[in-house]
Amino acid sequence: MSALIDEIAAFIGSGDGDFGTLALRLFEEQRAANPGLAAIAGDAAPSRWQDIPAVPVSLFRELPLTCFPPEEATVVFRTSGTTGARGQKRLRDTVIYDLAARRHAEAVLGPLPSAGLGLVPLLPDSSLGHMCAGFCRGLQTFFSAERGVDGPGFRAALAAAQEPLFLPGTAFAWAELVGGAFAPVDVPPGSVLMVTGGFKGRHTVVDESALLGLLGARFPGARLVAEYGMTELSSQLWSEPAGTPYTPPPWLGVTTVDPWSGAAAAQGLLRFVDLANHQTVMAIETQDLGRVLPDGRVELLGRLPGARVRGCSLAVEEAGEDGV
Amino acid sequence: MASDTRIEAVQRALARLQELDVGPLSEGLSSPNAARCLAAACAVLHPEALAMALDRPGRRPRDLAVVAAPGVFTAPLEWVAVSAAAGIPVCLKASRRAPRFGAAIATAFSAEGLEVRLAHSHDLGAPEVIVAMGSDEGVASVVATHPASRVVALGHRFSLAHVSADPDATVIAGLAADLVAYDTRGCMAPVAIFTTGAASDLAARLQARLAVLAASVPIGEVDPALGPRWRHRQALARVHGRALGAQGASAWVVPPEHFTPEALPRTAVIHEVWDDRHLGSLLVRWRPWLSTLGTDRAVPSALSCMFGRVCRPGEMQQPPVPRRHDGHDLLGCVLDPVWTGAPA
Repeated sequence: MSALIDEIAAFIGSGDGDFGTLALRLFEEQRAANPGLAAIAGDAAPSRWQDIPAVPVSLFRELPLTCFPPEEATVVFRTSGTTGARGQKRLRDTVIYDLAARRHAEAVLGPLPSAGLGLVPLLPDSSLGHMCAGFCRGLQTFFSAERGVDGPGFRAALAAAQEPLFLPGTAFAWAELVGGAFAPVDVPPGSVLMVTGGFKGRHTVVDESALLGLLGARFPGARLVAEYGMTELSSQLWSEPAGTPYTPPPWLGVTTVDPWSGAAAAQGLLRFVDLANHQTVMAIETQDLGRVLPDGRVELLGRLPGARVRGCSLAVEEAGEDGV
Repeated sequence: MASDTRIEAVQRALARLQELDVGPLSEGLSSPNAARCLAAACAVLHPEALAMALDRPGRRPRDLAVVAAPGVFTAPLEWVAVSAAAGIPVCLKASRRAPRFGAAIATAFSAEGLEVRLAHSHDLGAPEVIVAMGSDEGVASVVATHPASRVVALGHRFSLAHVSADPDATVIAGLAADLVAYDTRGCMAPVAIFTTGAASDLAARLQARLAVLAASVPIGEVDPALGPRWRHRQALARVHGRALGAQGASAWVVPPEHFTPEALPRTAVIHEVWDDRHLGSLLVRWRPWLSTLGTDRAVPSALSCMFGRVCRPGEMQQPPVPRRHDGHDLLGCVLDPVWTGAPA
């Protein structure tokens, strides 16, 4: 598969190649290398990338879904969760992952600040933490699973900052921070504040626009952006400014399907075909609802009602509950 | 009104209900399926059955409320029918998802002079007894908000089938009928079928029968949230076993260690077990939630005693009257438990 990976890297790096062709080739190589995917895909013979069989995201809780012997994994990202098994994405390396993450973030946001203060878990098994730390090598976090959000520490670090900052955090953590008596604080010009994750199933729920309004008021001068991603994917979508539709990278195909039948629909469950997911399965069906706009951007419409709760914000709330 | 007169009135009320096109009242079942389900639910409420159900000593409560849960639209019918036949005024709180069938019940019974009314809010008043169906949380809420009432709680349960190694055609037809009824909703739908025979053969026969039924009794609306679950479990079946058919008529073979007590619409999930002891060991942890066992075998009492009811395949979704619902006798459980006088 190495020749194909080189082609994918070239496509991600410089746009050389054709997404549909690469996607179909990668699917066939993954099917040959991944017994679980081979069984799930059966005799499917897609002729378009949109028809590549998508694996339900929940299967990462039950199957290794790797294109290599799972025991050879050097990195394991785990999903958040309060009950039952947590989903795991095993990787042999993060070369393509890191390339794809930085490439698209900078394509949408421009060069990222080199210093950062975050409200994200910087744990070895957190894909969110890995991505943020990759953007900003000196990222300092003020969130931990044990203690939750360290508001005073975050404020003090912000006040001391002199250079533009990258400020990533989950929506729930931001809501916890600014929902109380958090006075506005100036951030260095050029700072980028990133929001990711949702509130579904949380005790505290803040409307997205209300949260963005609060963040804008509490952090004047910061540019608000939003990220959509998940452990099982290797690529992310960005909303800039936050609150506008999300932009997928060119190596990430997006479709929507009817939630029950799985047939193509104008809006419905989001399915992603991610070339950067070359080590696991490239086509994934989420439990999030959305639609693809004519310009290719994606409008998120929330989680499928009744679907199992998951997501980055869960880790934050769990910590909050534990801390009470 | 005398007991016999009330039983006759109940029969007329049931007939009124069956004259309706209940598809639109049935939480999304197709009209043919809804009509079949309603006919089956009414059939067991025949005069002799009601008379037997009423033959219980004890003081009847001055009034009764029935709180219905979503899923099986006919679920409150047997409680309303038996209580109305007993002369107990009934207040029915219909499921939010099927308010129109609740209203239809109240209208049909009222039209025959029976005291059945529909609750239009969560406020049930202060009935002497409440029969509450639904989740543990829902039932707990009813208990908390009605401290003066005695609550008969009917929580969520699930059911199974266990068939012989080479079941005959009637067993296959019966299992398919149990899966098609209510589109596999409700606590009496078989969430799994266990066999000591070749699971693949059973799957092929059952899937073929489900496909035939799908033509005459189409599947109705399905909760969209079940789509990802269905594809998840189909994928697991493909990885660990075998998956036949498509949505609306599918049969999967899955190793028993992957047993999941979750019914999916018209989907037969088949597990091969070594023997009754093996099945019993798999079910021990689920014992408090077991409702009905559909079987064509003479199962040992150690297994049958784990279930509230044991019946033939094809009868799982059609419980007889009188019966014990999750251990509660239909009328007996609403009677005054400390009353020691003469029979009512």
